[in-house]
Order: sequence, then C-alpha cells, then structure tokens
Amino acid sequence: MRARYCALYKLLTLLLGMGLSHSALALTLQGTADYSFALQTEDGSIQKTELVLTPQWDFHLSESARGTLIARARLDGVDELSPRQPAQHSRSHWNRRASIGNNADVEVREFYIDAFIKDSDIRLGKQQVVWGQADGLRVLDVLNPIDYREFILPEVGERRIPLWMLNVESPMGKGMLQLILIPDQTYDQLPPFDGAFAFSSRLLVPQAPANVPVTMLDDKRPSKPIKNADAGIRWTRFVDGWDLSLNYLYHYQNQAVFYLTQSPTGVTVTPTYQRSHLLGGTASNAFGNFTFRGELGYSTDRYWVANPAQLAAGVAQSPELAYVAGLDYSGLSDTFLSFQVFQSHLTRRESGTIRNQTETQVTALARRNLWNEVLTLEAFIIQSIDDKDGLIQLEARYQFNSTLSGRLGTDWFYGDSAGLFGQFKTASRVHVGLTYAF
Amino acid sequence: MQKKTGLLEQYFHLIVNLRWLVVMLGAALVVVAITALPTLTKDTSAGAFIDPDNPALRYREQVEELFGLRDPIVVAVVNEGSEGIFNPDSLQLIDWLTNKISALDNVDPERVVSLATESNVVGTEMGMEVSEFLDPLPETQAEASEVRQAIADFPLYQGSLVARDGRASLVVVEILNEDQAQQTYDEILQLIAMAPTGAEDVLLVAGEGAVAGYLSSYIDQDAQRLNPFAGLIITLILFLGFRTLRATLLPNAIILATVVITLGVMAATATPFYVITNGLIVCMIGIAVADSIHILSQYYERQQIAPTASQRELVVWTMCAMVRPITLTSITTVAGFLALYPTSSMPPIKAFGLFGALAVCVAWLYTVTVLPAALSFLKPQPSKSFVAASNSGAKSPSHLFMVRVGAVVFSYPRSVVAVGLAVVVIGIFGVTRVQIEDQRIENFKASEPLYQADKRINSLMDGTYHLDVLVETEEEEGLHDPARLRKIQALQAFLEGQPHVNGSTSVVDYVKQMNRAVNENQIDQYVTPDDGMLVAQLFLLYATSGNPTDFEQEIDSTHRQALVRAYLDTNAFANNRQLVPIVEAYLTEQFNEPGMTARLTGRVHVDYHWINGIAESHVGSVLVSILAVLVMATLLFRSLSAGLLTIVPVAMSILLIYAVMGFFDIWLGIGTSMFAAIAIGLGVDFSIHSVERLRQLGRQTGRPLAEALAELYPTTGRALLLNLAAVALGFSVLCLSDVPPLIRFGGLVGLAVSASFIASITLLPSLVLLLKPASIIAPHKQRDSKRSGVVTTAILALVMIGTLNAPDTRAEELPEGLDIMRSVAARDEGHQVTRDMRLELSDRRGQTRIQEIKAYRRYFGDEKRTLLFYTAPANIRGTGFLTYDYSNSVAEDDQWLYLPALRKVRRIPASNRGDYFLGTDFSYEEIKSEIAKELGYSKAVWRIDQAVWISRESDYWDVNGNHLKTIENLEIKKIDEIWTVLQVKATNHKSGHSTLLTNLNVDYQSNVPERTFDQRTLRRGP
Repeated sequence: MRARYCALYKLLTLLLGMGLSHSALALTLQGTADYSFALQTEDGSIQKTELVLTPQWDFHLSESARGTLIARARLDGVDELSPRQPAQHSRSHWNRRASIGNNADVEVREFYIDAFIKDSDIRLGKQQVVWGQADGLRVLDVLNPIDYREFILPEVGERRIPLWMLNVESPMGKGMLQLILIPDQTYDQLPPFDGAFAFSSRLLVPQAPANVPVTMLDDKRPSKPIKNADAGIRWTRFVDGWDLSLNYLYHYQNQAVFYLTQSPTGVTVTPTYQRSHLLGGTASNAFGNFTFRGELGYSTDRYWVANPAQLAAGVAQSPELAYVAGLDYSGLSDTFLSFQVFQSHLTRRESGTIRNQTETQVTALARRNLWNEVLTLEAFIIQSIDDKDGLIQLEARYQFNSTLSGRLGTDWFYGDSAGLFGQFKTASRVHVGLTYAF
Repeated sequence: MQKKTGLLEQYFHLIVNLRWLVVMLGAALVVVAITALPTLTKDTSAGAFIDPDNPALRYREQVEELFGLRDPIVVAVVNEGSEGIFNPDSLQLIDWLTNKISALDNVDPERVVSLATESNVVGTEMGMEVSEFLDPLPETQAEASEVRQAIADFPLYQGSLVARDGRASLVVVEILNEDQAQQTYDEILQLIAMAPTGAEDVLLVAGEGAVAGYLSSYIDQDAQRLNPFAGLIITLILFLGFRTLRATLLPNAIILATVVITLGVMAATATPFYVITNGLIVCMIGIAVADSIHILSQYYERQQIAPTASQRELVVWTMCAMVRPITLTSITTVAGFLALYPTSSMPPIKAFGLFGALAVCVAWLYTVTVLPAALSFLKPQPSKSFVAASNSGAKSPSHLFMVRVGAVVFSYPRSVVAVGLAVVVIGIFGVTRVQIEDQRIENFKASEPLYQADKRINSLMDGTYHLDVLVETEEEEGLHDPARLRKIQALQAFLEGQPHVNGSTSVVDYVKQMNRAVNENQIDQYVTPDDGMLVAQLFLLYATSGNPTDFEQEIDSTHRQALVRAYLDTNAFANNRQLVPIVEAYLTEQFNEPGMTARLTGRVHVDYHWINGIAESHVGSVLVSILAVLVMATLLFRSLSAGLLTIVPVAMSILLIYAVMGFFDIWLGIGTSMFAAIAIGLGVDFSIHSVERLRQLGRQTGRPLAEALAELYPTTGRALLLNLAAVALGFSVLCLSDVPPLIRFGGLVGLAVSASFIASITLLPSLVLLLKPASIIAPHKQRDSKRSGVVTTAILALVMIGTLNAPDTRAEELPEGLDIMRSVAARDEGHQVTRDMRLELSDRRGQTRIQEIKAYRRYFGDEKRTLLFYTAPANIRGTGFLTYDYSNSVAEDDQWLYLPALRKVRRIPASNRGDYFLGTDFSYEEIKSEIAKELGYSKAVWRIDQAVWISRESDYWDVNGNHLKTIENLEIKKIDEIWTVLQVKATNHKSGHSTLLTNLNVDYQSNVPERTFDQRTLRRGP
C-alpha cells in the first residue's frame, strides 16, 4: 500500500508542476487553498486548525474526451477530528487517504475521464454522482458514501466519498437515461471513537452496558468488485415545466450494520454490510417565486439498531419509506429562503428497535446577499421533531476580491445527548476561515 | 497609369506569344550554368574567413615562416593512475604514437613534438649533457620514474608538454596542408584505435589544427544533407497550399534555375564555395519560392472570379497585377543583400551579399519571363483550395484563420500596437545582453569527441591556445644580453599572472636550465646568468651534445629573434578582449626599448582582431541594410511614411533576433553576424506585399476603413501565410541538424521571418488604422462627408414610457414608440451565438472584481435557450445557468442553476428576473439578452438607434421615483451581418456600483449543438 501512495505523491507532484507550467497538453490547473480554525465553545479547546489544498487538473484529451483529477491535501495542527491515522476499513484499497504522520493526509478525490460517444456521455473513474432534490438530507443521494469526520458541518460535496464507477448518460426518447455501475466497495467512514464527532447516539451505534468490554472487529466488507458491485439506473424527463425522475438502485447500504455477539469475555461487534433495493423518484417545478422540490424513496432491506435483549444480535430489519418535500422562496430581493420536511417511516417496525417508527426532521435556510454579493449572511437550522434536538449554523462570508474570501460562523448543537444532533453538543464551535482560489 | 498598364500588358502578351522562345532561352541559360559548375572550388577552411590582407594574419604567417608554428593537432595521453604517465606502458605508447604519427602523409615529421622527441639537459662533470627523455625507452617503473624526475627538474616542459601533475602528456603534430586537416584527423583517430595503450591510458585528440580543419567539413556535410530536405518541405507546402501539380512544379523549376545560375556565376568568377554559402542556398530557395507563391495565388483567385477566361487572359492579368509588388520586393531584397558587400571585411560574407543579390535578380527574371510563358502552355485548371475559399460555405482553414486574425486585429488595434511596443522594449533589453563571442570549438556538439577532448586537455595541461610574443633585437646574438633575457623573464611572469594564462615558454627557460646544469644541477642556479658571454657558452655547450635545432621554436638561428609563448586554456573573446590590450600596453610601456621590440602574434591574437572586427562592422552592416531598404521603399512608394511602414516589420524581426540571441546566450560571432542581413532580405517581402495591398484597399471609398482594410487577410494575408509556411519551415529544417551553428541559423532565421510576417499582418494594419497615413488611405475629405451622414440619421429621436401613463412626446417624423420596440424586439439576434463575456464589477471606492463567463444561445423554433458558465474567478468557476425562454409571454421561463460545490442541478424561479445577476448590476433578463424588456420599474427611458435597432442608452427609475440605474451600450458592431453589442455598462446610481460587460469572440457561425442546452451539460461543465 505504501508503494501505491509513493506513486501517488510522485504523480501529484508531477501534475502540480505540469499544471503550474500550463504546458501545451491543454492541461489547466485550478483549485482552492482553505484555512479554517475552529474553537469549541464548551471548553475553549481548538477543534481544528486546518489547511486544505484542493487542486484540480483538467486535461483536454481530444475533441470529445477530457480528464479531470482532483486531489486534496489536508493538514490539521491539532488532529482532533480524526486522531492519529485511522484504519479506514470501510474504504476499499483503491479509495483510501494516505496519511502523512498524524496530522496530514493526502487523497485523490476524483479522477475520471469524460467522453462523448454518439449521443452518450460517459464518465469513467472516481467521481461523485448525486441523485435527489433534497439539500443535505439523503433519501436518494446514497450512491456515494459519506465521511463523517466532521458530521454534517462541511459542504456535502466535501463529505461525499467519490467512488470508482462507470456513469453513462444517454438520451432515451424525450428523456435521459443514466446507468451507474459501482465496483468500488467503499462505505461510510465513521470517525474514530475519540474523534471530536465520534458517534455515540443510540440511534446509530449500539450501546454496551458499563463495564462490559467491547471488541470491535474490522468491517466485513464485500470484496468482489463485479459480484458485489452497486448498480443503478435513473430516468429523467423535463415535461410541462416539471423536472421528473425515476430511480432504482441495487446497492450495499452505506452504513454498516453492527451485529453484536455476546461472549463470556464481553461483547464483540461485527460491522457488516447489507444489500438492498432502493426505488424512488423526484419531482421539481417553479411557480412564480416559489420552487417546489420533492423526493421519495423506498428501501427494501434496511437494518436498524435494536436492543440486544429483545432482538438477536442487536439488529432489527425493516424496509423504509422516506421522502423530502422542499419549498424555496426567492420573492424578496437578494434573499433566498428554503424549507424542507424530511420523514422516514419504517413499514415493518420490530419491537426492540431503538428508533421510532416515523422520524421527522425539518430544515430552514435563510440567505441574504449584500453589496453586490460581496457579503453573504446565512442562517440554517435542522431540527429533529421527535427527539427535539438539532443544529443551528450561522455564517457570514465576505469576498475580499476575486480570489480571496473569508468567513466567520458558529455551529451549535442542542438537545438530548442521545439524539442524532444532541450527541455532538460538546462539539459546538465557532469558526473562522479564509479561502484562496486559484 | 493607363499608359503603364498598356505597356505591361503589351509586354506580357509578347512573352506569352513568344513563350517557346522564352522557355528555351531560360532552359539554355540553366544548361550553360550547369556546365560551369564543375569548376566551382570549395574553400571550407576557417582561414577563408580572414581577409588575406588582414595585418594580423599576415604577420602571423611571417612568424609561422620563422618559427614554423602552425596550428597543431594535439594528441594527449592521459593516465589517471598513481604514476600518471610516468610508467613504462604510457611512455612506450608516447614513443609509438610519435613514430606512427610522424609517418603519416600530411604530417611534418620535423615538427612532431613529444616526450619522445625532446631532450633533457643535465649537468655532468664535463659540463652539460643533453639526452632525449625517452632514450633509452624505459622498460621498468624505476626508469619511468627517472623520467618523471627529469621533467620535474626541467620547468620548460611542465604544463606545456607534460601536465604539471603528471597525468597527461602531449604529442603535438603539425600538418603540412590545412585542406587535408580532416583527413589527417581521421588517420590519427584510426591510429589511436589500434594503439598499444596501457591499462589506464586514455587517448584524446584535439588542437586548433583539428578543430579548424574538421569544423568546416562538419558543417558542410550536415548542410548538404539538409538542404535538399528543406527543398522537399517547401515542395510539400506548395502542394498543400495549392493542391495542383503545376503550382508544385513551377516554383521548383524557378528554384532550380536560381540556384544553378548563381552557383554557375560563382564558379565562372572563381569565387570559392564557402561554408556559409550553404546558408545562401537555403536563402535562394526561400526567395525563389516567395514570388511564385504570390503569382500563383493571384492566378487561382482570378480564375475563381472569371472561370471562363482563357489561360492567356488569366496569365496576362495575373502578371500585370503582380509585377509591381514582385519587383518591389526583389529590389528591396537586393538592397538588403548588397549592403553586406561594402560593410564586411570577410570574403565569404562579401560573396554572400553579392551572390545573394544576384540570386534575387535571377529569381525575379525567371518569375516575370519563364513562369508566365510556362504557365500559358497549360490549360486553366482551378485549385481545390481556392475553390473552397470563394464559396460562402466552408472555407479552407487558412482562409478562416486569416479572417479571424483580421477580426482580432481590427477590434483591438491599440492593443496590437501596445504589444508591438512591448516587444520592442523587451527586444531592446535583450539586445543589451547580446555577447560578442566566437569560439570555434563551441560550434561542435558537446557530445562530439573533439569537443570533449579539447575541454579535457585544456583542463589537464596549461592550455592548447597560444598567445605569442615575438621579440626582436637588432643585432645578431642580441638575445644573449642578460638584461634582455631578464626582461623576457619578467614578461613571462606578467603573462602568467593574467587570467586563463597557465604557463609560458621561452628561450629563457632553456638558458636557465642550462645554467643550472653547469652549476651541478643546483636548484638555486635555475636563473639567467649575469654574463652575456656565459649565455653564448651555454648555447655552445648544448650544441656539443644536443641538436641546436631543439630551440628552433623558441629562438632563431642567429639568436636575434625569440618567441615567447603563453598557454591559455580558453580562446573566449570575452577573455581576449581584456588580455590582448593589457599585454599590448605592457609591451609598449614596459618592454619595448631601443634595440628590442616585441609584438603580439599567435592564434589568440589573430582571433581577437578578427572577432573585434565583427563587433564594429556588424552594427554598421545591419543599419546600412535597413537604410537601403528604407530608401528603396520610399522611392518605390513615393512616400516616406509608406517606406517607414515597410521597415517596421523588418526592424522588429531584427530586434527579435537580437533579443533571442541576448536572452538565450547565443553569441554574436562570425556565423551569426549574417543572420540580420538574411532576415532583412526575406522579411521585407511580407511588409512590401502588405503595404502595397493596404494602399489598394485603403483607397477604396464608400466603406468604413476597417472593413476595407480587413480584405487584406483572406487574399494577400493568405498568400503571405503560405509564403511564411514555405520559408519558415524550410529554414526550420536546419534545426534538425547535429551541428550547433546550423541549428542556430535555421532557428533564428525561421524566427525572424515569422516575426516579420506577424508584424506585417498585425502591426502594419493596426498602425494604418490608427494613424491613417495619407499615403495609404483615401484623401480625408471624402471620408468625412460619408461618416457625418450616418451620424445624422442615427441621432436619438425618441423617448418611450414603460408601465405608467405619462405624456408622450412624439416627434412628427419619428415612428411610434410601440413600433420602435417591436423593431427592437424583432431585431435579428442570429440563430445561435457563442461568446465570452467579461464582467468588471466596480464598487464606489473603485475596487474591481473580474468575472468571466462563457455563453451559448440558440433558437429552438421560437424558443430561445441560453447556457452560461462561469470560467473565472476560481471560486465560482463551473457555476452554470440554463434558461429556456418561451416566446409565449404567458408561459414563464424555466431556469436551472448548477453549483459545482453541490454537484447538483437545481431548479430556480425565473421570475426573479428583476434581481441582479450574481452580484452584477444587470438583471438576469439583461444578461440573457442584449435588450432590456419591461422589468417593473416605475419609469424607463430607452434611446434606440434606428440604424441598428438597439438601445444606445437607457435609464431606469425605481418605484419611488429615484433614478436607479443607467445602461449604456458602448460598442455596437456588425459581426457576421448581425448587429452585436460588444460592450455594455450598467451603473447603479444608488449604490455607486457599476458593471462593465464586454462580449468577446462573438461567433454566430459555429454550430452550437442542441444537446448543449441540457441539464447534463450543466453538470459536465464548460
């Protein structure tokens, strides 16, 4: 593995040099350098002082083919989010970060070739594909797994883990057909148990009784690229002002299912991945100053954390029906307002399952631009109706000039510590950052 | 004018009538020239470059006569072992080499110097004993070590014959005939290949004799290899440009005639073929083909216009049209070449200038006689590339390219001139960095064995480059005077103190050694004796056991003249230009005295004067060339301004050559000093054709100047492009050479010609457009009246009210407001358009942000779809907007936004069309189309230009009646028959913020595929 990463460093250095010289290969280099500093409000400790460099190379291979490579190098002075060098068992060998010491890592984020053949767009390589109409909430947006290093605080594009896949889009009739094949067995990456955003909510991870030793085994990841590949198909059509889509995905769920086995010595946890069918659709339209966005998904085989006393292995199984309904309003000048309702319903809830049969979350976003978009003020809240916990994010962004911008904000978790958001109460923070784009 | 045309027509009719005669005469001349060719002599020696009357050369020859010191070939035996060369194997090797080399044909056996030939001087009871170092040949290490000791005791040979650290020893070989130097070099290499070398012996061959002899043939052979290849490339270009057989063969016939006749005249006048004459051949090919390209271009173009014309008519018309520019370019090129003759002192360069001018004349003659005659034999046959050019459909790539270039140049003439000035500034800076330098050894590739041997030997020994001082006294045995000997010794010390002088030898070294020998070999007796009589006795003693001719390289037989030789490890002019004057000053001030004088000589001295001459003559020859061209052009165009315009591209290309030489450390030396003249000769072609055509176009009335001048590009511009391709590529072939000077030649001339072309088609038209010289454009009066007429009809005539009722003020003659807006709305926007938009957002404090957008638009029936992508700045790059504009005013538009950070396309309401578009002062609607529709203001005023049906300026008031913003369409131009707004400025009076939108690269022609306006295109990116 080390040798692979050595090659990676060399490739990146070479490409950086080539990109900087803008050689006659029709190679362009762009990217961002971002520094952010976060201070936890509870104890005043520094949560992160992080420099992230994200270069992007685009190569023009021919009239109808292009390549793109996006890399990310990250250096965090305090290493609180993902302490030491986490094992990355949930990621396939072809999709791992390369750690440099404890504080830094380098990753090939995306690397793909775009080709246009006949009428089809083909994108082959490591990429992100986004389904669905929801902002931030995931019903159909499950093709790419998520890195939960900083929970849901960074932009969703930063959190998704790009996968090696084949993505083909072809016109079919009056609509567009998209085929996805993902041989990359990479799943959600959870932070280590001592990370700032480590999961502790009962809803997500099984809770061991006190004084019982818990052994966590390595993830049992599927290993056959073709046999265990995810495959999906989406058909989209624009008709009568409506953007519609029908989606089907046969895939391994991104979250591992934690099977518990009890032994005299303690509890052993085996994270295993399970396959499921996902069928769904989206619809979106604009009416006057309003935009409506809807998304619906039905998963056939889903597994939920359960009380091991009531259900074997601490796992309950039930299909899930989930939907998001969103409404955006742009009637006020220089202002954008957005509301979303998310509901997840277990159609066959077994008793012993920790979560409620129906869980509801609402989100609200307000954004205001000032001074010809030099200053942007944003407020966002997501609240779980059932558990009454949530997250409030406030941010101000200032554009100094074409390439440099700064931001100042706060992320505040509130509510019961057992809840999805409340579990991170201690990680509430203020943050400040600078972004330089080149 | 009529009379002249009549004469020309008559002349060409005559040519065509007598075409058989003309062609036969032309062929006969070529045949005659061919018969003279065998008598052409070749002089590729380096010595040819020096004027035989050059005093330094003559003096050196005298010295050579006296002391028999020609430029030697040097064979070095190098041994890095513990004993160095002082081991039996190496010493035996030296002996073997000396014997074998002395036996070679071209080697002067009396002048081979090595350890095997030189003698040691030791003291004995009898006095002095002189015995050869290698007699007897050492068989054991002990004997070899004795030789080491002997050398250690004899400083004369240290550094000059044997390396001071004992790692190398030289065999110095003088050749009899310089012309066979290369042959001798080869023979020596063969000897070395089979020499009995010891375990660690390495043999190297270098020396001025080898370098000078080998260099010329080195260059010559490579040039002979490449010249035909250049001709092949040019033929290929001709074929690709015209795609007919005759256009490929006829120019080749002219090339052949030019080359053969010029060389024939050379042979007839007993002018030798020099190394640089190879460069002349490539020039001739370029010159001969240029005229043909222009004539054939005209011919095919004419054929498109008059397809039914007979071949005779076509030929006569073409020749009448082209004879003037062809003659102009020929005359100016001749002027450029001829300027070389009086301004250079080197025979090969003088010949280059003279015969270059002759070649131009021959090419011209054949182009105006044999070419039309030969052409008239053939039937009219169109050229495929010209057929394509005249159709309104697909045009050839070169046509399109030139038209594009023209469009850019006329859109930004000031920028072009600014760029030109910037290049001039950079060029001048580069010129100041040009170094005058020429070292023969640097003409070889670094991988060449000779080059490496030279460097190595010069690092091991004191040096293979010699600076000699000839000391003369008036009386015989005048050098026996100890005071004089001490002066010579002081001179040696002075020389050795100079940079790069590592050692020196003179007769004084011998005298000191002899003195020591007779004084029991005591070290402290290695001094000049105080007594002149003793000196005489020492020489006498030497004669008893040694051969007095051993001194013949240091002192003459009458002991009246002595040669002091300083050894340098480099011949760089940079060093010599300091060294030589210093030594000369020393000699004049401190050495020369009544009864004894000293003069500098030697290879280093000769080279110094030679290269020094270049510095002085070069600038002069370039200036004279340019001046000659200027005078010619002024006379021919009968206008100084036209003449000045003509030399602008030429001057720029010369400046560029020097700049490249300055920045890339290419020396200005013998070889490179001609480049300027060649560049002038070839480059003036482009500027003459351009100026001539600009004059024709500029004199047309009834059109805007820029539009008329733009005709330059598809016609003359295209022919010039072809000309450039042929010449530049032809020269660039030389860049494939192994030989550094040829690479430089090909590269620099190719570059200069390209620069001349670029300046001719960009800078010249821009200058004409901006300065409007009277010599180029029509008389001012005519132009003015036309323009004022247009302005009158376009004056703003109307005020229009928006939503609220307000009193109409209508002018009687002016159309109804609604009709106006209908016309505005009905204005043709083109079926599709691709453009780049540049937004400059400035706030009230003057801080500016720049945004760049790539925009596409296409009509799908009545529906208009627009796609915008941000390409800059980096933080919003990739953000995309897709809009479907329905013609039905009831149906709302559909709009999508793609944010690269989200990787998702989201639907956005199009009804916020009044909102400002992403921070600019334009609304979404205004960004999408160039005309502003009703947008919910309380009052709006548009000032519509009826000539183009576009608003020139519009003002808007908000609901409270405050003056909100002003939009000015600053630049409106017709592109592809569609009036296009190229620059708009929106100013928000409330915030003080303004946005300047510039549309660039507006292209109505290129097909924008339908699939571009799909959501997936938003995701894929621009």
